[in-house]
Amino acid sequence: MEYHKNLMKISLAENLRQLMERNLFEKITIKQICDATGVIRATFYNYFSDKYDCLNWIIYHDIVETTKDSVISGEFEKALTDSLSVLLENKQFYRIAYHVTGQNSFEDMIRDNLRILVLKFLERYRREDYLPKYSNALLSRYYAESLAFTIRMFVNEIGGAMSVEETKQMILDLMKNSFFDFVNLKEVKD
Amino acid sequence: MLQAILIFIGLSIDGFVVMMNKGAQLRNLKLRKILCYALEFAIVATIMFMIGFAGSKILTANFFKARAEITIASLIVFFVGAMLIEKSYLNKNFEEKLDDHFDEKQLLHLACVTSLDTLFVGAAYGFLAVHAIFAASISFIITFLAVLSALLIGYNLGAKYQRIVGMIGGALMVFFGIYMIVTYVVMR
Repeated sequence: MEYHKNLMKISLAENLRQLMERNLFEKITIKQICDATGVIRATFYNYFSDKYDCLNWIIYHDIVETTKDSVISGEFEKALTDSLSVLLENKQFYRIAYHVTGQNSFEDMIRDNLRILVLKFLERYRREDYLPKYSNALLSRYYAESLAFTIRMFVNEIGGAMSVEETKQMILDLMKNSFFDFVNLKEVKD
Repeated sequence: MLQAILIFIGLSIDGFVVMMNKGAQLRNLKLRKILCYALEFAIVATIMFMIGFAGSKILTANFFKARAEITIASLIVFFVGAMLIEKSYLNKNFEEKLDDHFDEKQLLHLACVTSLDTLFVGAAYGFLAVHAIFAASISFIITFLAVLSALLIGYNLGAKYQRIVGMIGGALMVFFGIYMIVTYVVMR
């Protein structure tokens, strides 16, 4: 039953993905998604509350679901590689999706799902004694913002096209080093 | 009679659009539920019509002369139609989003709000001395059929054409408002 449910979700989401490559997201209707999937319109609401929910699930599937095993094994680099590879595979879709703006913007969805991914790592592997005043929730939001920025650059080739490896290395370099490693200030207090 | 039917069709467009949108937001909508919703809507619309009709009878008995009565009636129909056109034109971005909390209370609220124009037309019909039971029956039947079809269309096809439908209904009302003024006021 769960398997069938998941299949239907994937099917609806994939058809939305394909529709978005040919039509403006704002013009796509639930009926079109269901017609493409071969189900009646009413079926959609058994899986998603609206097309934004469906779009959000696509991102969740690509970023969070794809990296589930890496989270369990604690391999953050692998998680980055896996999710960036999926984004590269669907680059055309993601470029179009960035045009979904407003209250339910695509950028917000990307950020939310990255926050979920980072939070999963923090909940499993956080050093409890290291700056405990900063909660997992705060840290996940902070790092999700920077990851969202990098992903936007990667997808839209801002500043030139980058490979998965280059992008992953950039993320790791920026996360491993602080602002103060990049500057030569006279006085830095710990 | 044809005139009355067409005016009620125009009036029911408001409720039609609202319920088509609602149909597009509901999950597992069975036929029995659709029939209940349509019946409740039709009852509310008919009550509003009768309230407007009764109100106009009181005003006619005490305040207004024939020509003035009909002019008021025609203007009411005209402006209701114009408002419907404006409302439909401005309603550009309706989002199809699941509404799991829709119930009889919300339906009643929607029915009352969309039947306000029916109240005014009830008043107009009162001024025009149309037979009350006949007009109320037409109002009931047309509203019932309109809401029934709206829910079926919204549920199965979505709410893609709600703007056009609303604007056509409003245009129908505007046309009849002008027709009534010309026929019953200017030409007599």
